[in-house]
Amino acid sequence: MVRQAATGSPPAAAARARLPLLGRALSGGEERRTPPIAIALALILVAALGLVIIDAAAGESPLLPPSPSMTKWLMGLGEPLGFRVFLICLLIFTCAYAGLLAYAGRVSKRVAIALVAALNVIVFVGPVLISTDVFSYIAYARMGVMHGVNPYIHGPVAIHSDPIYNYVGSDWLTASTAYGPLYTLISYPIAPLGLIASVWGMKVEALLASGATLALTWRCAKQRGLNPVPALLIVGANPLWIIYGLGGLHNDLVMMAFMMGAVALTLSQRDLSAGASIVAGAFVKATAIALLPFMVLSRRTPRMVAGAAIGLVSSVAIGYALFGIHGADIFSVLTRDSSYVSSDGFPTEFAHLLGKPGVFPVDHTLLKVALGLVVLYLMWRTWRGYDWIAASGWALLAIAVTSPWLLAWYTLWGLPLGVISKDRRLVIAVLAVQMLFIVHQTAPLFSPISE
Amino acid sequence: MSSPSHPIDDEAGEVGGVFARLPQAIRPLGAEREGRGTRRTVETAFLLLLVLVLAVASVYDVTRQARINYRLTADIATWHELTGLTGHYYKELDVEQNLTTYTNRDIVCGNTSHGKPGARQQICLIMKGPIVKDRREATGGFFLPPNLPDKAPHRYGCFGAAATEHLCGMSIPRGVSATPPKRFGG
Repeated sequence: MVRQAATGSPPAAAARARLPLLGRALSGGEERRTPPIAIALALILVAALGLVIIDAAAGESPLLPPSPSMTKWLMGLGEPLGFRVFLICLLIFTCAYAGLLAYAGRVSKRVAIALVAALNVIVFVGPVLISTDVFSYIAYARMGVMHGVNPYIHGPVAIHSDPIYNYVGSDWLTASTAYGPLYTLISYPIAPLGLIASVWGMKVEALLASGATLALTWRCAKQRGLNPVPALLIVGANPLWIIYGLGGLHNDLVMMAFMMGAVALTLSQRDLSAGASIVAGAFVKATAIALLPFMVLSRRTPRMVAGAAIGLVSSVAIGYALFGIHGADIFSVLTRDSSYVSSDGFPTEFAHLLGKPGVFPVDHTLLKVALGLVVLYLMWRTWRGYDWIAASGWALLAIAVTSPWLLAWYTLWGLPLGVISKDRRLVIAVLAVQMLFIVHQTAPLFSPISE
Repeated sequence: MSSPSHPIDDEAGEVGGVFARLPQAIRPLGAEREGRGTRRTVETAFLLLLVLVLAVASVYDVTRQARINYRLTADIATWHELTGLTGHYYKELDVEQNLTTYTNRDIVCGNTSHGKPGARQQICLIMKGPIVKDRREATGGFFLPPNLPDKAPHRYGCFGAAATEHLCGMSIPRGVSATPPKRFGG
């Protein structure tokens, strides 16, 4: 357990020397000159990401969703992005990131902020990576704003004459929105901007959400007496955060901004606002609600419960007023989505290991029971004084690991909590799960499919 | 240890207020008590075991997927060889894997003439068995109309094992050519 910022005094220095590398990085606080090797690793991160973005901008690629042309100024600089180049860059980025973490406690504040800002901006100027989800977000917004169609009842197929329809992923054409009414409302101003401007609007939103989450992580680390620089680097230079989360403009970043806002408010003992903030996060994406029981059990104040109740009543009222009963019920969609299966899910991988072709309905039930037990155990631990931030992070990690529908950005949920928690095992576990996810992407490197 | 997380908790982590009336074993604490670390050791051991299992499953799945990719490459090469359809316009074949059973039976479909994937009449071949010299055995096949998924009622012009297994749900539409590959007597 590491809390004290290093002061440079002999006992503190001796205590720091006994900590594991990552723990030492997170606890170190003094501003110093960044070692050249850390600078070199930062440059490798920038170069690997730059290559991915330049190649992604070159045109059609199996790694890019069909997208309106919006990064013409980068065209002609690279070759269309193939699996091999992408995976090699991803692995280089990951190795450089791992190396940088070893020096994270010795990186200066200025270098860390410059690096994270550079990575965010590089992704911002490039095309949408990996996922079609952002086009679903825009489609749902356009359904409501331009066509008067309720996105909580109909899928994008209801606006098949709209230009955005061509870019929505084929699996989601008939699916109504899985996101909370607050997110749908946030995305409404973007809808009338036109196709390309809408995507840019979503890019700005994702960039702001990423920046806000990182700023709040920094603030929370300081509130807990931790060195904010490693916390910033672990989250802001994370390969899945940058390439998959921000690259795909996922609204998980918006949810995490609300989540970290609630954590910062709780740490400032502003329980009313914290309760309201976490419920608002759940009305962006329902997953955020996982934090609420731990916040309530830890704080045990009526103001926290009152804040959550105020947030719930206002969000439900907004959802109901705008979208009817379907907009107010954010949890029914979880039942729908929990029946999905992705090839990257750990339950699917485990089923394959046992010689089964995939996950069966009975497995879904068993996984839900296991998740329920884990959450109950964490709630009990929190009641008995365990760090509620760590418990929340473990719960989010458990949701990701037990979900048969695992996507890269789900592994990010627990990361900002991990870097500010008092239990160092959490951040190590999140990074280990992410590493396994990245390893699982590498099959085309060993055996590409060629026509 | 952490400082008390609640205004009414004292430095030892004990709580005041209404919760103080609860039996000590279930009373909430402001901070965890220092113990012998047994629980932490057990938790850490469990976590390590879990990560180990997930790591084995992940690595196994990578090798499994690499084997499948190799098989799909052989499927595609076999499709090109048997249909005689090659070149840029015949890229992006649709390989339908049998994911619900343990078989390695794949159905490979592609356009018979220039067009977007699936936008023209398609010829589908059923692949089975091991990979031999980067090819697989095609046991038969059928045709599909443009822009329709591979469902039994859409299939016509069955040949090879597909004909003997009666996989086609419709007869060859008028004016449509459905000549099987040479290997199947076409």
